[in-house]
Amino acid sequence: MRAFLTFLFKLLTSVRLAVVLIALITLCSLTATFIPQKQAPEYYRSHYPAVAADAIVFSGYADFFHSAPFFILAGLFFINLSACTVNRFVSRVMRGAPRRYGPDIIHAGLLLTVIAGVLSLINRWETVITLREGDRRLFPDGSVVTLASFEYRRYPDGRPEAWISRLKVEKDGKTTEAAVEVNHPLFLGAVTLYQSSFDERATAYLDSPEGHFTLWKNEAVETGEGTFVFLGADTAPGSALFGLLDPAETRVVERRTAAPGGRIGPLVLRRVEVSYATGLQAVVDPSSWLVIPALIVAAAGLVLTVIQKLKEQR
Amino acid sequence: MLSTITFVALALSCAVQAVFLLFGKSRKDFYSWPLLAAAGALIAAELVRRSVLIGFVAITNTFEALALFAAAVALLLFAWRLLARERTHPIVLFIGSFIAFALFAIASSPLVPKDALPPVPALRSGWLVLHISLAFAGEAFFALSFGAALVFLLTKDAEKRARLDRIIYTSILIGYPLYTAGALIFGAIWAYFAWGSFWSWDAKEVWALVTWLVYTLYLHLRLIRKTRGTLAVVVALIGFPVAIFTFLGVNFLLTSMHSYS
Repeated sequence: MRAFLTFLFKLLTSVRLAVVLIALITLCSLTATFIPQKQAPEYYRSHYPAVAADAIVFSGYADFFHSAPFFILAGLFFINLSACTVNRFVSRVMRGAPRRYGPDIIHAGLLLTVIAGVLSLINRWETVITLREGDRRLFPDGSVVTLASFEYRRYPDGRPEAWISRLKVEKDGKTTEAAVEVNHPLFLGAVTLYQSSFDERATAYLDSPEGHFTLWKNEAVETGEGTFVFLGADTAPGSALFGLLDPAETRVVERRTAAPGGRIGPLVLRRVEVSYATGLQAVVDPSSWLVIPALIVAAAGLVLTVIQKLKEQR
Repeated sequence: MLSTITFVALALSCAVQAVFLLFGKSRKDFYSWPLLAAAGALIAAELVRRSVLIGFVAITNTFEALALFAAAVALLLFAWRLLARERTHPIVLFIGSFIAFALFAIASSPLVPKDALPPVPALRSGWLVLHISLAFAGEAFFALSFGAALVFLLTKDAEKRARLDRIIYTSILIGYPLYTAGALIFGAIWAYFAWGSFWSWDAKEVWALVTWLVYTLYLHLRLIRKTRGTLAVVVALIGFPVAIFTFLGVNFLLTSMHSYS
């Protein structure tokens, strides 16, 4: 029994095991980047030979970073790193070796990061909330969030510059205003709101020789000049974008823009109305506070080690 | 125009170094280094011009990223030569210069769009600026270690090998924390603010982590197992192609959240 425990201790504290585990994690992770992740089994069966598809599905490679093989490798690495860290620290103290704790601090930071990752995996909750102007939503901390407005700001060339959701937050009888933008989340108690998506609803009001009618986005209309599909609002304010479909009506062969009063074939555009819904990602992750201190600890250890090693080299 | 002059300066620097390597071993090369420094400075000037034009730090598309990487390598080699003087192996610096030239050649190729455009919302972040600039600073040191590792494996002379080993070790020792801070720490913080998660196991993230693991392995071999021979050098050699694949290969060959341009 004692011999077995000694063997186990030596194995768990060995750098060789760390090297083997790093090599295995590296190899498996790289392979996973070449296999599309989180697809349905049918996807793999239609894109790979039957044997390979079955192997991908049953080995967990379809979602490798949430699969048993990955958790086993990562778990072993965590145990190995913990054992090495404790062993290194204790043996240096016992021997009265010079105080070079840089690597210990790095390892402690890495272990904290892994712990934060595991806690996040277990406790993280997220959902996407779609709100139109005036919509309200009650949050778990008792606050009520209302979308006051949504702004889709574009550069002159039409590319997106910003998506901004302006919110009214009511809590404990007080109302505050806040904005959520990409890179600028809103911290609302335990919930963090991120600007994650938007939905555009556009309606084109048109005149034809037969009278007035409306088109929703992606709706098509047949005219004497061909079939036109309404593609949505154009980047120029008030203008609409239409596509002329090929005779089989399978693809757009020509794009045309019309300002109010402008013509699309025999049709005249009266106006375009656009309304947006914002997609806010609501995240509750009780472990996120631990990540930044963990990274700071690892970084501090790294700086200490490098300074020490550069001094030694001189 | 600035790009053309930069391209010529880098090409000339490489050519001059090649001529000295082949024909002028006993003479000192005073000509290629100002060219290398000029190329780095010109790229920096071009990036500043583009930054003013777009109203944000111009490192948000492939052209700008490649140019920044080339400038970082060129300026590092110049500084290294200045500080290390004749102790630096000329072939190592030639390989480094060629890497800077190759990076700028790819940036100048028709494959890479060169329009100076303001960034999309996800890229408008100070964390992103730290993420990219420090990652490339680290990778510039990895480029130097790659050159030294290549020459190490091709030479038999023990004294030369000891000098090359020192270059490999020192450049990785400096590049590693820069890369860790840039690619991993600031990258994770940017991802947290942009996408709500520090880590998503995206292809780019996985490859960046693998690059870091390769250099971690090198440092463990070198510092803990005290390996100074071929094994550690081979690991150092592998690191740079992995870093290049992380930067370019993932963008062009794999699906990633990082494919913005």
